[in-house]
Amino acid sequence: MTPMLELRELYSGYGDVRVLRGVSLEVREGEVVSVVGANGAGKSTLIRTVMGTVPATSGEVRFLGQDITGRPSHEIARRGIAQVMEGRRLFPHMSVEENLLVGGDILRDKARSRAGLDLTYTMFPRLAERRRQLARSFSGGEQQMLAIGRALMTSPRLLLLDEPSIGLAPVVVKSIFTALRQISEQGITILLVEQDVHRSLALASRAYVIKEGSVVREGPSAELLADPELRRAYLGI
Amino acid sequence: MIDVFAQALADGVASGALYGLIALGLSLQFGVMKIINFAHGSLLMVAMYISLWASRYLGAHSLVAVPLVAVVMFVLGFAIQRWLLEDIYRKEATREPMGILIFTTGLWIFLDNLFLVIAGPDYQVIKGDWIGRTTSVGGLMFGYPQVAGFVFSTLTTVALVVFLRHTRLGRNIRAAGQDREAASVLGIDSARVYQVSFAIGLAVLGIAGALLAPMYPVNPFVGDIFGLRAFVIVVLGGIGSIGGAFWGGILVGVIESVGAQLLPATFSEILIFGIFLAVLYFRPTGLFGLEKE
Ligand SMILES: Nc1ncnc2c1ncn2[C@@H]1O[C@H](COP(=O)(O)OP(=O)(O)OP(=O)(O)O)[C@@H](O)[C@H]1O
Ligand SMILES: [Mg+2]
Repeated sequence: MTPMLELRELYSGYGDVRVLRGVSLEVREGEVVSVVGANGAGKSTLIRTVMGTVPATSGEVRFLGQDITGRPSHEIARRGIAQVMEGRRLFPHMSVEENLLVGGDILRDKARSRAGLDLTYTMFPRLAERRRQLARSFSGGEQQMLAIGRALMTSPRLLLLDEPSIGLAPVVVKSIFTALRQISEQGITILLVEQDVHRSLALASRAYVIKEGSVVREGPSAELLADPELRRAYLGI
Repeated sequence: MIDVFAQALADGVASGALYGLIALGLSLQFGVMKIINFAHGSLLMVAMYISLWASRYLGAHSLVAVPLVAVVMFVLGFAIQRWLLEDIYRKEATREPMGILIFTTGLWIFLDNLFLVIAGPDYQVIKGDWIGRTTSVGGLMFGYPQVAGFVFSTLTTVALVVFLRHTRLGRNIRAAGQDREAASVLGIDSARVYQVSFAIGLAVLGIAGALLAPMYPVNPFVGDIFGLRAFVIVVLGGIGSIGGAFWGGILVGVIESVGAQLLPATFSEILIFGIFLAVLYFRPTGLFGLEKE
């Protein structure tokens, strides 16, 4: 079966700064796959290159068997990939509901967008209570829920998450991961970049370890967690 | 004496609403694309000439010319963004869009001189029976064009706010203005949004030009003073705020009109620009603290 997402020897960077150096990985339908690595390893760049916001310099990104390398991000989003960006990146001058509706606008269908809104509010009741408030008045956890909800509003096949738990209190992290598990159970495929290696490997079935823009290890999460050398060298635990 | 002031105040509000409308497109373009369009005043001049020619050669009533000028300016705006600004913008996407600033400055000088050649240096006026008519409201006198300017400026401003708040396209324009990358990963084509925003900015400017033309003689440099004024208003009102541009326009209109009763004309310029500098210094987000669109 062709994987849902496949990266082949992907290179990318910023101007002269080369960040990804030949990354290959795949995510199959229904999986949760995690990418871990130290600060500056290129995790965000990886996600942004998939999404097309950082151009690939060589290599290939394939989604559902089609080459999407070099396509503009809005088109990639319309094909069914959603990204929860590092730092949440909410629209600060919009209310909670407006932020969500922007996500739903991609469907070009008011009724489906409304239905998505109801689902989002069911998953995150806190957002429903505060639908009229400005997003920027929110706590970090609420903002992260909103960022995830907004991405889900696009009704994606594949969800890319860039450090959804960073800077949040442990109880909030827990509820974010509970939500991710629910999202996965709804059949949405997930590629997760996380600093919280324990939780992220607990959720993911497989993981890739990247270092200086290259994949240095890959395998089932349990295997990676059990490897003492890996724990010391790359996971810092 | 009271009457003189009441009249000056009302005149100021009326012309202020139109000033606000002139500033609106500039504010929208800045709010969405973060570009400063220095050709804004010249494009107002272009709109005024289109309105003048529509009335002279097509015999259009100058109010009938309003939607016509709006459409022409919309198309012009779309074309300018699509074929002139877009490439420059893309090349400097990661930097401050300096090139746009220089380019639109060039466009300003180019248009002014182009119209000097096409239309000649003389002031020209639109003729029409209704233009000289007046009406009195509560003891105050208003010219018909002045009433039309106030009413349609206010309606246009309200319509734009409703469009931005309550339509999908309006929401997408605001989203792209607030965070381009976040908008594009949600499926919004920012290049298209910019084309439409620039076009809407000029369509609104076209409405303003067509409303101004019956009140103000047109010549190739008429846009310079209004363009400058629009910058002041955008800063006073808070960059990117539509409501702010409206109230900023009213404020400038009133200062100008009431000021003229008390002080020599040059003083009102000093006052307006003094306030402009003070706002930039003390309250760079604008006087009114309204939410950005
Ligand atoms: N916009 C940019 N311009 C230039 N270099 C950048 C840019 N963004 C990131 N980099 C560089 O690329 C490298 C990888 O960055 P990236 O953000 O992908 O790492 P990361 O693994 O996500 O790190 P973190 O865990 O801190 O989020 C870093 O050395 C960073 O300095
Ligand atoms: Mg990162």
